[in-house]
Amino acid sequence: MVNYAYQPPGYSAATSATMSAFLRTIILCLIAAAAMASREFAVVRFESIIHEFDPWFNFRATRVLAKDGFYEFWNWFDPTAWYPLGRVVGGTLYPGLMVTSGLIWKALHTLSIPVDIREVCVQLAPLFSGLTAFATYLFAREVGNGASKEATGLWAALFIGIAPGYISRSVAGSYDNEAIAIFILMSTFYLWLKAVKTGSVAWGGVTALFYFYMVAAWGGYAFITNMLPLHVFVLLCMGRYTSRLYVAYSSFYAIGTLASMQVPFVGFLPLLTSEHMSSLGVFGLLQIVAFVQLVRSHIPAKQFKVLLRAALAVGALLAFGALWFMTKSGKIAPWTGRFYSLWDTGYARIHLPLVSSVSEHQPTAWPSFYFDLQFLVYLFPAGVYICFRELRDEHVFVIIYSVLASYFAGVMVRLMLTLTPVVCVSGAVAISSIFETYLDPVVPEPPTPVGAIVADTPISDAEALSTPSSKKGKKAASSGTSSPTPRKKRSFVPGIFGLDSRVAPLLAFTMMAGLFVLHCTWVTSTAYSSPSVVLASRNQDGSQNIIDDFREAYYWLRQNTKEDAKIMSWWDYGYQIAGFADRTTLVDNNTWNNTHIAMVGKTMSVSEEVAYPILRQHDVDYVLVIFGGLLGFSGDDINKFLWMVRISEGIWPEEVSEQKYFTSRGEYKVDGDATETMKNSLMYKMSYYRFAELYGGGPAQDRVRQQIIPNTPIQLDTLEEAFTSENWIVRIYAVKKEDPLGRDHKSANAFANGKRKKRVKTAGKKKRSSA
Amino acid sequence: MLLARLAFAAVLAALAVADYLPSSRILVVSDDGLELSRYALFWSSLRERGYDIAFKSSKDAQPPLRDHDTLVFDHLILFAPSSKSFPPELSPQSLYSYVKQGANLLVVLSPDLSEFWRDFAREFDIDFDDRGHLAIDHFTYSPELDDGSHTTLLIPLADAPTPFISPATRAGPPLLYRGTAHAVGRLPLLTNILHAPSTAYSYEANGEDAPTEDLYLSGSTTGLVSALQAKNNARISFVGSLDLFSDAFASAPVSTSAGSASVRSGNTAFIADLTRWTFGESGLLRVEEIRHARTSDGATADLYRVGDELVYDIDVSALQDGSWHPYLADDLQLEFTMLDPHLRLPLTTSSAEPTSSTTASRFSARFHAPDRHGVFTFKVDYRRAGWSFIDEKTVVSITPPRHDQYERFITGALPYYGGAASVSVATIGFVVLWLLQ
Repeated sequence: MVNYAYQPPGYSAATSATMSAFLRTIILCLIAAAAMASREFAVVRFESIIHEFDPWFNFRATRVLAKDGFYEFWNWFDPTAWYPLGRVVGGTLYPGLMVTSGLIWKALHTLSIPVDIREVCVQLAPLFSGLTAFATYLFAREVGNGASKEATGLWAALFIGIAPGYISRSVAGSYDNEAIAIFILMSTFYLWLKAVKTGSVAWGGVTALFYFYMVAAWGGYAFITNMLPLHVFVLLCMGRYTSRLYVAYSSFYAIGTLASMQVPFVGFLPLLTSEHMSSLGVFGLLQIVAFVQLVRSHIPAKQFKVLLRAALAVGALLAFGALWFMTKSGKIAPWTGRFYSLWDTGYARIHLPLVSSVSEHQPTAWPSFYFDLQFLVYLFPAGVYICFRELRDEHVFVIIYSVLASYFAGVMVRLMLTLTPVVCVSGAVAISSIFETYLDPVVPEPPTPVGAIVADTPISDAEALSTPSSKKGKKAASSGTSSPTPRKKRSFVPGIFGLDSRVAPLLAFTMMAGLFVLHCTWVTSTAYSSPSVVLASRNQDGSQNIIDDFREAYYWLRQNTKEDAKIMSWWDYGYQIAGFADRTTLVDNNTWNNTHIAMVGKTMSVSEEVAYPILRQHDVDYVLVIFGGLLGFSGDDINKFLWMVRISEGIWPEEVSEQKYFTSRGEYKVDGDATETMKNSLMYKMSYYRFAELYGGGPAQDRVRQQIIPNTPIQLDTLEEAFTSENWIVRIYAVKKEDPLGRDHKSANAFANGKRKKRVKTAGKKKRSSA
Repeated sequence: MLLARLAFAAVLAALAVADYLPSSRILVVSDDGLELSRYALFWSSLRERGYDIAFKSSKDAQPPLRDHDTLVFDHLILFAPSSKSFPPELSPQSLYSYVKQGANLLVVLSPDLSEFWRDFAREFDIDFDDRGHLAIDHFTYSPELDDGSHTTLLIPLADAPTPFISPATRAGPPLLYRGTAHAVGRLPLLTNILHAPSTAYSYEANGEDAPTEDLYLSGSTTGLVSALQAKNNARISFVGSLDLFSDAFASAPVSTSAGSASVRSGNTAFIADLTRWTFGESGLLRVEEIRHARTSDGATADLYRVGDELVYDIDVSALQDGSWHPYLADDLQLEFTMLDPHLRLPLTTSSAEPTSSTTASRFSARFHAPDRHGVFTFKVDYRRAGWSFIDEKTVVSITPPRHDQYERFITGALPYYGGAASVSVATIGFVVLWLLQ
């Protein structure tokens, strides 16, 4: 007779299985719905609008796909981007996202649901986050232990559904590659675990197909490319070679690599770059190991050991030598700079100012881990620990994943995204094992040895005994049953006795989970649901005030400039100008050409006289700057200005020098103490042109930098102010045409202001007139 | 309004017969005390050429020169050398704004020119000599008209530049000139049309002291008439002599080659040529048509592929003697640029001789698009003194081949084809053997 702490519901096994399946389905659907709903803050608060910067390009590309069809999209050459270099868009993007939403749009239209392509794009991320919850459920179920498998899956689905780390890049309107990539990532990992477990070619092939989808969708596919081989490699090192592993990996690698090469942007990279070499190397190693296994089955163990050692040493040496030679001789491209910056956080700052200027490439601040993951942060190590206890193949996978992702998330803010799924899974493992332990109604038998017969409880007794118990349980054991039999070792049985010791931890963790939900909702609504194209502020009475300067300015450009006008701005705004204003830009967020960006940076950093010929050479009609000084909008161009200087200094060190923009005391100032170079730079002049006039002689305060701008008027000769938005956030300047009389603009302006030109006479003349 | 419509219709009709009708409203601004009747021949010659002339004193504020944003005149003749101040709409800035709007200016000055004009001319890189200084030459003065100060110069027109001055005028009798001189700057837009002979200098005419060696202007650097064509093709001419336009000079006899029968001076012809050029009746180039295409199928497109053979045609005609003719030149160039010129090619006229019916000559270039994708510009930038500028830009994109335009089978890849085929065959063979086992 089994002791129960509380009476379990007395359903038959079949009823209970049906009920749990039914509940599972309901819960999963609810989780998916919650995941989608929590991402709609932005749409409810603002409107159905594409957010941020990159999504604008994706949206524009999707529109081309929807309008002109797949082949036009595939061969799309965009002459309006990167003027005058142009951009071969079809060959330089990951088309997965656009094709996905294009297909959804097409399907809806086939069903006679006339949805605008924009709505599809806006809602794609929430839709896929629902799917991600499902994929994570499947993945975590593979990882979970015994009877708590399903619970682990559901917890993981719940966590990934609302974890801010993932929401930050998948709210409605955040139409970016990451929106679908996490779903594909988790699906690929799930399928991979399935393939390793079953050793079936079919599962391996499906894994490869999802890998192909990932390659087509996101540059982060390299994570899978390295994760799976590493898993295989670690398993091999642990001596866990099986033919299942061989079949899974070989079929995955062969199909996956061939498929990935079909994406034009990837092309032959899988054979040429170092990032992809690990998967190739592991593939080769696996063949060798398989061959060795074959040999071993045919020759005696002793000779085999010698043979193995020799072969391994020679093989490793050869492989390493070959890799070194190929890299040196240029057959394999060395690691790219972005990749180096993953290992050495200082590398980018020194060698790649462009890469490190991107805010999402900055190292992660510690508080943001808690901000994005809340109580998962401390469930995470517990989950990893539980993985160590059993250490099945899939647990090894989770461990590797968590180590790698933790490191990368610490290096780069944006890689928090790849960490979040594994944290959710580990957290789910931990919390489900806690709940399983404390919900288990079975009270262990007191030490008096009686062979109890296992009744038909929902959870078999053997499993209940194998589940981990806590120290609290031990305490409960000592107090619960008052049988202090002083028998040495056998005296204590691990387990939980009594109802109170079960209720207390359950309540605690339920409350923590509840707080997690509150935290996620709060973070999502306050931090991650702003379109960043439209800003919101609170008035003093608490009402919302929408600041719509960006759209105001972009629509001004659309309405008031020639259709082929070229707009120069810092690259951050390139995609938005192209998307909103439909005008040609010089540089944009697809930062493929460092020199071109440095050229724009140089134009902004140097004086008017130097900048004007560059502006003319690039046929620039308008220059757009973002200025937050009036409103206190800190993400403006003056704050980004040092990056422009640094990036252009990298190309033209003799013309631009960062030092000259700092005062003698090493401060970055825009007030009266600013250096001459700073005051003469085009960026400074454009930002503060007529700024002091706003204050009517009073101190003109820049509210971002808290400095007083001197009220000496700024003279712009080669540019004229064309537009300034309501709150001065966007300022647009028109580049003047060349003077019809061939004068430089300075003297032309002097003439226009009524100044007389000094007579240039020979010295002889002067001598005579004075004599 | 109706009148304007009629005028417009007339312009259209004129264009239809390929005849050139110059824009025809001239405003003359003169000094207050200037006797306009002294230049009656000049006015009548302009009227004969179809111009409407309106007069206005430099002191008058009315009538306005602008009606809303359009000018009420096409050409401005400034006969006001000695006026010191002008109403705001004749300020240097306003005059410059008319030039910017495309109006042509004929600025006629005299030795008692005011500082106003000297400042104004300086913006055009022309520096007039001090007030009261005249161009003096003791060798080439006109014995008939000179008062003894040797300031009425007799200047041969033989080396006046084309197309400002027509060949007939150059071959004709010399010009009578009495006025101030100027230094000609280095501005490329500026051309000196007439300069004093090498024995001339600029000095006070009745000065007692002999000229010293440090003269401001002497010899052939002494500019008399200069013209400038702004980048928007507006034309401005500076003439240092009011007398040059006078009836007295126009009808005065000059003796050529010492003692032979004297003829009328070259002034009338010179003035006609100068006003023709200044008011856009000569020295005009017109781009009739620009065509670019792929030679393989002759199609014009916005996108061409890397390596396509392209052909670029530009039809240019020139205004000569009041009608459009083919422009003959061998120095036109085409640039195919993206930031920098990737190709710079001579534009050659087609071998077929232009028939009498064609009014334009076709220049063309044929080349392969460079192996570089991007946004390229066909650029013809042709600037020759006296001719209106050609600055034509046509933007096209050069793109990489489409996905289906690459070669399907490459002979160099035969080993790989063989490898793929042999592996396939071997696999099938293996499967068959396996199944038969």
